[in-house]
Amino acid sequence: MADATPEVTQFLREHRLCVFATGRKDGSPQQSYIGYQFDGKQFLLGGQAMSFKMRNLRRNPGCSLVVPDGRGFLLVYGTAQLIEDEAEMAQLLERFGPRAAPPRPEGAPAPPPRPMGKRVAILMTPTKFMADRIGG
Amino acid sequence: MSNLDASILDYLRGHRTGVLATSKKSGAPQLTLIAYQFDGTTLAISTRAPTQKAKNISVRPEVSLAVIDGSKQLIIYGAARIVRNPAEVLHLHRERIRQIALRKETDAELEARLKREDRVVILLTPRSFYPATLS
Repeated sequence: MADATPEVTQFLREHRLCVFATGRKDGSPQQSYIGYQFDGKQFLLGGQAMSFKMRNLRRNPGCSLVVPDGRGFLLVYGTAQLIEDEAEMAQLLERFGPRAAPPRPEGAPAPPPRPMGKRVAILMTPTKFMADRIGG
Repeated sequence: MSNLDASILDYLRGHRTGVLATSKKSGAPQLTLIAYQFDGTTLAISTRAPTQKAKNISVRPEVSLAVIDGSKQLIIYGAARIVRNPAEVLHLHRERIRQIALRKETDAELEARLKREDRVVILLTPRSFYPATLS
């Protein structure tokens, strides 16, 4: 497990969305743009139980995420643990707290309810943090 | 290319950075933030030959690119190849990548820099597009 510096923790708390990547069966990457929470140690993410990313993570827990900010970004590598047990999910919710609602333009209609598939929590343990700018 | 409509083309043309995912040996993804130039068919990305992403693509050409903008996202899947031939690398930088470059340089300066920095070009041919807006 890699420790987040105070700067990294601050940056992660000021943002809420990341590009999350997993590896498919054939080794090619799969990406999705999802919300995350960070408690200073680990990341909490989530998704549908039958989604590609969950299927990928069950096979290969190696994952990475990028939080972009203009021309700079924070890159995190880690390993994922899938939490499907309802009691454990409730504990995670308590530990990480409620998720901030996504920003919506004033007067915009409320989003339609999510499809009611089974949701699974992803607990990601970071192994490496890298801050960088575009280039290279 | 499949499911490509005009709004996707406009979105890609209207942006210039994305998160490129390549595959490590273990099959786990490697991510980098890159700048691209889209000509309506392929995306051209400048990088240095010794970078991990260039090595990964040489082994496994399947990549994905996420172009995000606030709550909007477009995720592209496709095959990439590395252009290494110096004449082609120069041509691609001069004709395409220069359009998105922040620095101004003469042709001679560009040519010298490409050589000094061991530049190559990643050419990504998209196969599928997944646009979405987060709710």
